[in-house]
Amino acid sequence: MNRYLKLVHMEIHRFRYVLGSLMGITMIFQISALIWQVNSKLSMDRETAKQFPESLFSQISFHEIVFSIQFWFIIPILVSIAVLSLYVFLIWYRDWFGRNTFIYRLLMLPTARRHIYLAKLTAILTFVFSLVAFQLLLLVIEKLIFNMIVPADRIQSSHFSDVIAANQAFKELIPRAFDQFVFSYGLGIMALIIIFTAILIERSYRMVGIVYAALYVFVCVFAVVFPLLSLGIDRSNAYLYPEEIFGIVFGICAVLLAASVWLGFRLLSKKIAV
Amino acid sequence: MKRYLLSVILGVFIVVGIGAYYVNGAMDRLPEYKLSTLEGNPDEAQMVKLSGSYGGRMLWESLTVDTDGSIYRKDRSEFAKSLFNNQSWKFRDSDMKALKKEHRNFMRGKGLMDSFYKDEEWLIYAEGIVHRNNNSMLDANLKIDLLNEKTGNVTQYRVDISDEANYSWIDILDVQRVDDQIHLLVRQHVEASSELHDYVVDLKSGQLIRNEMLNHGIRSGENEELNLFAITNEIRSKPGEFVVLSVRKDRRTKESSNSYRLDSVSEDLFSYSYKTGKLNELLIYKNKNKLEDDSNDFTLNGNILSNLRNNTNAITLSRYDLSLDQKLEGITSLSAQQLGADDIGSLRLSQNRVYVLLRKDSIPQLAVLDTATGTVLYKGQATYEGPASNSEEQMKNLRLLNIDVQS
Amino acid sequence: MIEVKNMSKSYLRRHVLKDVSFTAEKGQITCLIGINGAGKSTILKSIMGLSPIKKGQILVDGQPLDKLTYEKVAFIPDHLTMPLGMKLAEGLQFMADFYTNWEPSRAEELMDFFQLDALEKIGNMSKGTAAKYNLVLGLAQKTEYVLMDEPFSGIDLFSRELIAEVFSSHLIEDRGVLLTTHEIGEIEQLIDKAVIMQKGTIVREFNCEEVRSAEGKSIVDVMREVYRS
Repeated sequence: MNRYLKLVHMEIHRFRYVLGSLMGITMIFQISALIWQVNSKLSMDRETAKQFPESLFSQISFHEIVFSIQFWFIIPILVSIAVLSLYVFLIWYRDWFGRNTFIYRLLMLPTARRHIYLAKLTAILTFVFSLVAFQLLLLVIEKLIFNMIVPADRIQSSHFSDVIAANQAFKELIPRAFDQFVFSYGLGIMALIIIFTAILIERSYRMVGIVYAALYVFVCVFAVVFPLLSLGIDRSNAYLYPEEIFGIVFGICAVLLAASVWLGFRLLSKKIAV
Repeated sequence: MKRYLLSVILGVFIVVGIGAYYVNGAMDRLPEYKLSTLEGNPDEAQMVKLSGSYGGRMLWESLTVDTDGSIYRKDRSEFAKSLFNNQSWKFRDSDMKALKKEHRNFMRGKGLMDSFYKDEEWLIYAEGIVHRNNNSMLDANLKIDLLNEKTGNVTQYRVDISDEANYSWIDILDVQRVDDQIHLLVRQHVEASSELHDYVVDLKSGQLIRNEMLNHGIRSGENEELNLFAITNEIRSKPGEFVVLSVRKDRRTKESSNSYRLDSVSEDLFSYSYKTGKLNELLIYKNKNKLEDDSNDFTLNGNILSNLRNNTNAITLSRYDLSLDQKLEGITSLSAQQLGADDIGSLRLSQNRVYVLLRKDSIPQLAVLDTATGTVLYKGQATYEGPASNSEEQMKNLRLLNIDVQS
Repeated sequence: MIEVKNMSKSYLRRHVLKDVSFTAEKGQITCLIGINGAGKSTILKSIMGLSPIKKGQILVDGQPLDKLTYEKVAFIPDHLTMPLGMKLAEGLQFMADFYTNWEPSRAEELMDFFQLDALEKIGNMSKGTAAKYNLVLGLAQKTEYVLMDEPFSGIDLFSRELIAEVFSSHLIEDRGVLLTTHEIGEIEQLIDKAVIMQKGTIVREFNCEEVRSAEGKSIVDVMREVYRS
């Protein structure tokens, strides 16, 4: 197996407990909120039934329950986002700091150093997407649990797209349209690559590097945002047509992406210091 | 390989999980509907799209239904939608779309629909520009771009229309061409009031030939204000001899120290002929509409001014020929029942057709009427494309609210 | 042969290394000697491409540094460079995964020799054990050269004896060794060539045997000359 994939595996392996814990936290929060919510609703109905034996109860659908406990669903998602965001930095800095500096070993591996960069990038993306996939799996499991604890005659069927629509975070993180998924995560990957390169700038030039890195990030953000703001995407009398403005922005993104990756590779192979 | 199991599992998990979600999403088909002919000529409904939503899910799903079937918004690309949504109002109109396609460079930066004029020879765009000059007076200019469609030559004129009145801003309401003269209908604002002018510019030289103020003769009293509007030719890419001006008088009633209420007092319509320069009050509409309900809609199509109203579930269309100065045949109180339905949802007048969205037993129907006679040329209704056993339930989930006619 | 030619390096306008040139031959033990901060470690790091140089050239067997150099030269830094969470065995596996020149049998032999427990966690090792494990990682690679940064500093006496024993064993024999130290002590007998550094420059480079027989001086005598002058 080639060394890049071995490095990816190594990075995943190092994070396995954290990733597992994030999944665990998500599962515990969501499933307990679900069971608690369903039970409290059912017991409330039972109370009512005791007092008014004639009452009829409405049906319960999974997506309505998910909607009513959005908050408890979102919390572990936010925790995961926070942890992963932090790890974007830690995945590099943990190799420099501490009692032993693994970066010595990594840089001395008989393989192109860009593999280290790509492996860390792949690892972060693997974590992100595995949490996304886990959430999807969890929703299937949660629906099964829901079907088990709610009496069959009270279950109103609900469609999977309704469950996604029931939670604000799902709508953003697992959008219904695939092209939006590609677009959002593409933008995320670009941001990730820019941050990686900024980290490598700092690692290469240290104190002065912090200034360079901040400047680099600023320039990147500005280069993307400025044409959107200045070319009048929302003005009907803008000289350029919207599709042209987006074309320009896409072009800029492609250039930034290529430049960031190239700079990252170059710093790693020529400038980096342990 | 066994050592790498964790990574392999995660990789497969990601691909299968996210893949299954999107495959499942793409295969998630919402019910299909179609506009089916009940009677008449199906060609009449060819250009019509009915839009509304499907309510069988937790969130309403927007869709359009036409004679070919139905299209849900979710199935159109979300991303492309948001990408080209900006400015879309500008190019939604099929006229504008065609112009953009044909004259991409000339159309750049030109955003105001009413500022365009088009015929077989010329494409003209005018813009009013007001800026403060060195003497801190306001300079008013008309910027006119002309495209000769035969040669492709672009000419630009700039006409100074500043005078002592010191206009604070100017709007172009209409642009027309009469032989070698360009007519620009301009609304100019001076302090709290506004005026309408017809500026006539020589097509060949760009010189201002004359400046005609359109004197409608209506004065505003104390605590009253006049609002001027223009009803221009329905199809922007077709020349028209006339424009209809609407002068609405509003009364201000002070409600508190810093807010007041406006009530419409009267509304008068005038026709103006660019060719003759004649301003003619349309007495048949004098103060008429304000007594009736609000849902009235004037449309100018060539020489014919139409007024379409939905009054207590009945359609009334009055038509007036501006060049002959006489009333034409129209439709009088055609009720939903007469059209074989329970109620009228919405109306749309386009060219010489009236499109009526009806509901019968809460099922949407479409009727296409001839403007002159009120004859039903087409009638159709939304149908569910699927097993008949679900039909009744699925029809309950369909709500259609708007008519869009692609001319 | 490892050749360092006119190497210069500065950090924040301060010279860390200035015009450093020397060679380390295969089959010899070359020792960079100097007090702390003289720039010894920086030289080793630069040879391994872990610290960019401003000027100069580094050649290994006439070739500039590239990824294949890491199969040819092993570096044993003055501290462990393996993640703390790994077990010793996992660390060896990691090396075996990435280096084609890794020799598992040699690693096993070294682990036995140093009496290291493969199931122990790297983070739990004492400093002495860590230094021994570090040697295992470096020496179990079948490289032509080994660089060692302060292999004896801060280690107990018995461990030092064990490590010194390795130096005279078949594990070192044919290789070129370049090591740094600030205290010459028990390895004086082992060294073939000494390079004495001071404030980022090289002040003496000499063959120990020659100096011993021609001038009757030990390395420490030469050092004394250098630092007292």
